[in-house]
Amino acid sequence: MVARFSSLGIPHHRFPPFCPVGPSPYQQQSLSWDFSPIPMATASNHRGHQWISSLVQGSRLLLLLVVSNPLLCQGENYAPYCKNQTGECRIPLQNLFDTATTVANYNYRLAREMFSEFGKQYGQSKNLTPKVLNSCHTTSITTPESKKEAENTEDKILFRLVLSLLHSWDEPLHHLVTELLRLKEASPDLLSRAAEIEEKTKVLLEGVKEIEKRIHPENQEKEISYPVWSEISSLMSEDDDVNKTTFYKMFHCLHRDASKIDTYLQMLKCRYTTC
Amino acid sequence: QSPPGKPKIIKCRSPGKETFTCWWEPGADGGLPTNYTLTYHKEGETVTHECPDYKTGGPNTCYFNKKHTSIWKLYVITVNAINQMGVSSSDPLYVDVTYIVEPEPPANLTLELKHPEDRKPYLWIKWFPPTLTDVKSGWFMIQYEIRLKPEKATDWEIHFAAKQTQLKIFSLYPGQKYLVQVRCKPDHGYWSEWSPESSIQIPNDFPVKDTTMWIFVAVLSAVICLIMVWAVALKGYSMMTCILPPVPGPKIKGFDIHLLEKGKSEELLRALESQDFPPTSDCEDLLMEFIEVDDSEDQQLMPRPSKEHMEQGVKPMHMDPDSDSGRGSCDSPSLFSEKCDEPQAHPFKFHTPEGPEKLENPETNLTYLQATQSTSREGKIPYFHASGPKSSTWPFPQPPSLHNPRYSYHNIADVCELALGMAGTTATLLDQTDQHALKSSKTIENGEEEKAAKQRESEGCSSKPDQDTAWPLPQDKTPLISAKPLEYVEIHKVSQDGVLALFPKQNEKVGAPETSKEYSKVSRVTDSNILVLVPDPQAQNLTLLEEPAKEAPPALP
Repeated sequence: MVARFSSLGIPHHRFPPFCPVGPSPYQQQSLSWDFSPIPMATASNHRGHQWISSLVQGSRLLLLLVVSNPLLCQGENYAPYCKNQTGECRIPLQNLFDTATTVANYNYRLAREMFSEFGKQYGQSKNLTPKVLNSCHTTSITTPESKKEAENTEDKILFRLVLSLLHSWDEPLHHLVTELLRLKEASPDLLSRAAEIEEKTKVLLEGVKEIEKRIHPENQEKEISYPVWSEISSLMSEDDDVNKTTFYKMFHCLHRDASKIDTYLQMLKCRYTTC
Repeated sequence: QSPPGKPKIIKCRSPGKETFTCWWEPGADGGLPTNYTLTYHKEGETVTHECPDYKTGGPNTCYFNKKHTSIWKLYVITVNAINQMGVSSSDPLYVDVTYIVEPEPPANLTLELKHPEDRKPYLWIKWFPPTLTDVKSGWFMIQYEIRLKPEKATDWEIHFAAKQTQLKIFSLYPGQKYLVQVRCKPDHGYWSEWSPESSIQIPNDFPVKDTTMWIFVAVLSAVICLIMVWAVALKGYSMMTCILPPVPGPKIKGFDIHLLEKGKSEELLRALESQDFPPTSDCEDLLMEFIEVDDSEDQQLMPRPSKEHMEQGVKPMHMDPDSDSGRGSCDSPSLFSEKCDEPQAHPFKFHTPEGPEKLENPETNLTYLQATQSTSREGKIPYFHASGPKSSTWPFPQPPSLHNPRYSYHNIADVCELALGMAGTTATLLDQTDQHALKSSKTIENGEEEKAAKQRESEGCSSKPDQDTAWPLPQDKTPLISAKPLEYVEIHKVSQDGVLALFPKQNEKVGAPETSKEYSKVSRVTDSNILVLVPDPQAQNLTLLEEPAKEAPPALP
């Protein structure tokens, strides 16, 4: 596990603590944000992934219990980086960014593997690739599409984009998991990955919100708009072709958007902290 | 001449997610000069563009610069082959630049050997990110991998370096030349090629502390193993007997194991019946009858049973007040007792129901030691069985210099005759084991052995064809022996293994019987089948003096 963390570029000793770090007004949010990315496994295509994901579920539950128990946490003095700080102790921005990029990278790998697996089963035979052109519901979100564009985009906008993308996938992922369960040919790996990416997306959303609050506290009032996904009917269709095509499109769009989120967050991280 | 063949797009690659290049493979040209064009359109656009640059990437390539590169957008690329006859288009390729990234290998690989003072020396490998990749802005996330091997080895040792651009290697063999290579991979893309090899020579004096420690440990354990092997080799047998004591064989006193071999059940049962089983160490029930050889004018061996002597266990040796030292009395346990009364219920006479010979002369009935009263039955042949401590007297002939030399001859001769007459009954007092005794007694039961025993006895007596001249023979042969006084020897006790402990019968001159020496060791057997007994220094604790060997009359085997 430790080796994997280092491969993701996150020094394991810098993980946020399990317990809330003081009477911060954002305590509730940091609560769920802190422990979630810790039990992570690589989204590699092996059978252990299933086991790891179930372990992840269990450990999350355990952590939730641990964190909610105030007896176990000593408040301000618990976090290691709170030793030298006076007053209110907060998680450093570096840690927040590290965790965010780790989760985003993990989500991207999950999405890539799901797309690849589903594509092997259905995509090649019917050559569905032409059908996915312009099929993502998130294309309405105008995102920078080259490095130059991205470099010239302001942080605020980048944050907005990321949040908008994350919001827009909330509901589609939920339906995806539900419909995958009904799909006969869906492999257990696919199911577990879909479930995990759904969960991690929620986690990432909270984390990015936390970071934005830290950096741009004045942005809290603005409402985040996001496109709505409307293909639920095709997803639930009885027609096999329609059904499979919709799944394929979803996997393709998820793959792309996960890549965007990952890149934008990395860029933001390099702007505010060390890469 | 025909329209050109269909070209095929091989691949498109981007080195840094900012530009990309596509390669295609031309088809058959149809015999005419063929032009190739690449056309594409982006996802969400309707306009078709043509390749902006055919040259930068080389022949049959199209290079898209930064302006024309968009990521997170699918490109639909088609290559067209045009000649005079017609146009032939390839299958469209759908490309998203995000996923076709294959960076260049990392640059400027440097190797350096470091020798810090307090720590182990190591190899410090450094490199730089590949060109065309912008890692600083976070646009490009890259991971590295190092591999190294000694020059002559076949397998590479691979180290994953994540996002760092340096690595320290500690496990190196001195005196070898190492080759090092590095490659990288973006988060969403392909591995680069391996960089060109860099080599470094590790000097011979490169300290490798781990190995010396392991060599020391190996040598120490080898020494310990050798010591253990040596100890086992020396004391292996004793250790084995300690761990796995040898299984004792069946040892029933007086039981001839050879009967078991033959497997004759009748004899087996008879043997079991007739012997003293279970062996008792209680001597009180034992009866022994003696034939006392008297040196008086009788000159005959007369059977004299005496029963009570054996019942009393070990008896102190009494001295005969009279000169016939060979004659035992009822008080002294003697082998041949002629003065004592018959035992009450025990046949002291020899019964040889199976033996062909019978004693005609009742006087010459010898009653040999009847060791077992309990198992004696009518029709059973008593035989000598020595178990438990008992005393008996084995009258030995005395040297001619002493009294009754003639008597001694008679004694021997008569003993021989009687022994023969008894059809091989055992006079094996000198037999050291009960098995032998049993065996001899068995001769009676077994016709074959009987004759053999008789033969043995006759041999024993053969040296004395003449009663009178029997004795001097051994004396003539061995002056040494003649020099030794011959005396009566009492069987003082029989140890538990059936070892006879013989003591010289005390004259009036000699002191207490306790100081008598045990003659329990057979030193040799002479030609005339005479057993020469010597005192066993081990068997007695009292005296360490070496006595001249006492000579015994020829003992029956």
